[in-house]
Amino acid sequence: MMFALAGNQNCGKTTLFNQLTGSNQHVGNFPGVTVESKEGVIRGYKENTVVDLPGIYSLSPYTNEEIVTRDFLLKNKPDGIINIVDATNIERNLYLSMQLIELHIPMVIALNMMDEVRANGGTIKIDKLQEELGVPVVPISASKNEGIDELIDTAVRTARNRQYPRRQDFCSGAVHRAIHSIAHLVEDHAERIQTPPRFAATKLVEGDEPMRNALNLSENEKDMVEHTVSEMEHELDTDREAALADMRYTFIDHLCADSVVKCGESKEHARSVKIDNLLTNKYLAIPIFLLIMMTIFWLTFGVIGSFLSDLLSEGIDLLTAVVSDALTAYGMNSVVHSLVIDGIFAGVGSVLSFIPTIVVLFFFLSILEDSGYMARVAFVMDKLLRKIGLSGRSFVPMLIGFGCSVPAIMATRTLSSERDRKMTILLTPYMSCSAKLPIYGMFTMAFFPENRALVMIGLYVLGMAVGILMGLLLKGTLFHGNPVPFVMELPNYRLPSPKSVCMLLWDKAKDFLTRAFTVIFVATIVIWFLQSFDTRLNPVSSGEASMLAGIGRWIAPVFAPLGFGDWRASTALLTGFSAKEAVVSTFAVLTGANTANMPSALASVFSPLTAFSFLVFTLLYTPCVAAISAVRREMNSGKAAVGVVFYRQVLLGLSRLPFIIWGCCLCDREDMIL
Amino acid sequence: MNGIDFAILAIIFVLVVLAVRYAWNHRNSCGGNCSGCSHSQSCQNLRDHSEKK
Repeated sequence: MMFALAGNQNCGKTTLFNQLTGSNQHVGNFPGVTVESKEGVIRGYKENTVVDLPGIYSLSPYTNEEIVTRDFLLKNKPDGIINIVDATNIERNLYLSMQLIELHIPMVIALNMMDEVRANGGTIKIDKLQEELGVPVVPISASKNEGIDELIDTAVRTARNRQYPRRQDFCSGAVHRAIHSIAHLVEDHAERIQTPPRFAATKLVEGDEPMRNALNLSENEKDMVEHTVSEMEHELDTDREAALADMRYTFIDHLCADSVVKCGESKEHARSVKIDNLLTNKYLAIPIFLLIMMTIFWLTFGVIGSFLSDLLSEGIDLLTAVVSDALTAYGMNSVVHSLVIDGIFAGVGSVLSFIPTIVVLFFFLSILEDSGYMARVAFVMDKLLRKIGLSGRSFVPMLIGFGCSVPAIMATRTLSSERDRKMTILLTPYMSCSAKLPIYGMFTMAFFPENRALVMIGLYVLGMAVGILMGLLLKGTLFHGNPVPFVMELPNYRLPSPKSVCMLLWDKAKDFLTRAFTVIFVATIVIWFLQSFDTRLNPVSSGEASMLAGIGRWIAPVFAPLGFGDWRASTALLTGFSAKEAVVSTFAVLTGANTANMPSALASVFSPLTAFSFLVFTLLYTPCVAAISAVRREMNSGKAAVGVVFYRQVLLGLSRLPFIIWGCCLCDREDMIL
Repeated sequence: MNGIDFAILAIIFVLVVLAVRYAWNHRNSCGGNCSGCSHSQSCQNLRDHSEKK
């Protein structure tokens, strides 16, 4: 048998799914949409599977998730529905339950988070709920694995014995009359498309277009339906959707009044409200957020992260020296020696030294996220984002973009509006990803040692500012219209879990190490080879005569107006296309510098002004190939990917801005051009 | 070039092949930063499921 697991978002559905299936899961996509599907075998019941449907609040076709869930339930005909309800938020959850009952499929309600209800002094009369709703209700706590076995037994028994909901009619008065008359009218049409007549009637009363089209009513029947609904609206003096919502919530209110003893407000919730009075204050919210982020940046780039990075750099240099001496002692061939030391160790080592900076940054960000503060930031940002045509929901993918653009672009799948999704995809690359951190770190260390944190903050702010400008431009051109309303649950504040923070940091470090020893490793060897040999594959003593210098000089004139026309700079930017960290390793190989003398090596290529111009260029130029592939995949359009590459190029003129500003300050013009 | 040189080159060659294979096998994956990704759990389950098969 197959069961569908349905419920609101954040009600513990995934936790329950994991408890039901253990590791016996299969992940895929619902056909035709970018909505994830998960299916698993129920443990202990090998012939029974459960499908985890997306979290939804109703069965109305406003979002992809709602459409997918409804289509699945109507077309795939599961043997049973397990409706998970958050007992701490029962009224809102039962709204969906009532609609699921109308589907006339054997159903069990899993009343989750009962441990929290009990802990806060509340009680729920399960028998009363069962009697009034007409379906079995099983109290559980998915996170604590309580009641799961009983739930499985009840669900299997209900489905096996085809125990349909004993009650579907929760209404009275005008709504009741309207639904019943329409149900009789469309009964044969509904049975033809294998849809319960009552469900079809309810959807027609709501004005559900897909249902109207699916039923294929005649013009006369459509007129009769509209007339019936109009009479109902006139009698109740309200619109159809409000009438149905009122009907459902009236029933829910009476039901909860009889069967739910409200728990007192939890201490966590009361504390969260007090904290929110400050952190989401109308005037203080954004300044507080900016202050927190600046503090994090200062700690990361100015204090902790830079100290640890310098320490690691010294260790890597020491190791490099030891290996170099050992290879020399063994009589290693000079070319092989150069490959290992000047190529691999220099290139990969220069990137690895930035691990502490990245880990420290994400340590602080994960604390903010785990504590629940980031949800507030999304809420606070909603008003600002609306000015550029997006909602606060877009903030989450953008925040992920500070780590890596690729998962950020994929995270836009959570946006229900296609317009919002595309716009967010195009703007996310402006959030400077962590792969660029080694570049920023290397240049700020070399040219702005006293103001590292300030320069870093400036770059991030510049990226966001340019993103905002582009948002305004896109809003006025390609993406007219308004963003969808933003509804979000604010979880209670909580102390970050050390385990989840450590796991997150380990994931981050592992990911960085993987990239360093794969993409960067190969790129470093390729760069070393091109830099060490000429076109006849003869070893060269100076990089100036190498193949790479030839390639670099060919493209260098493009970058000359921006102040860094040196072939090494242009070559490094080219390698950044594969992975941004490769810019650092390329400089290390091209300048022959280790982490200790990198600043002086870079000084032979850049001046402080051109270095800053280079940083601005790095911030704004083409994303890496992985990000471009993600854009192509998520937008299902090669043109979009090409557009992302090219439309950003027009912004590269901003790299010239430091020169303009410097010129306005009447500084020595010789400093402006290298 | 002596035996040690060739041995080092062979090791580096193997590492390059492994790195290129890894990058090719993961060419359609998200590219990393699982820690910040809302789909990271799914990715892990899919990998585990594929490995079990």
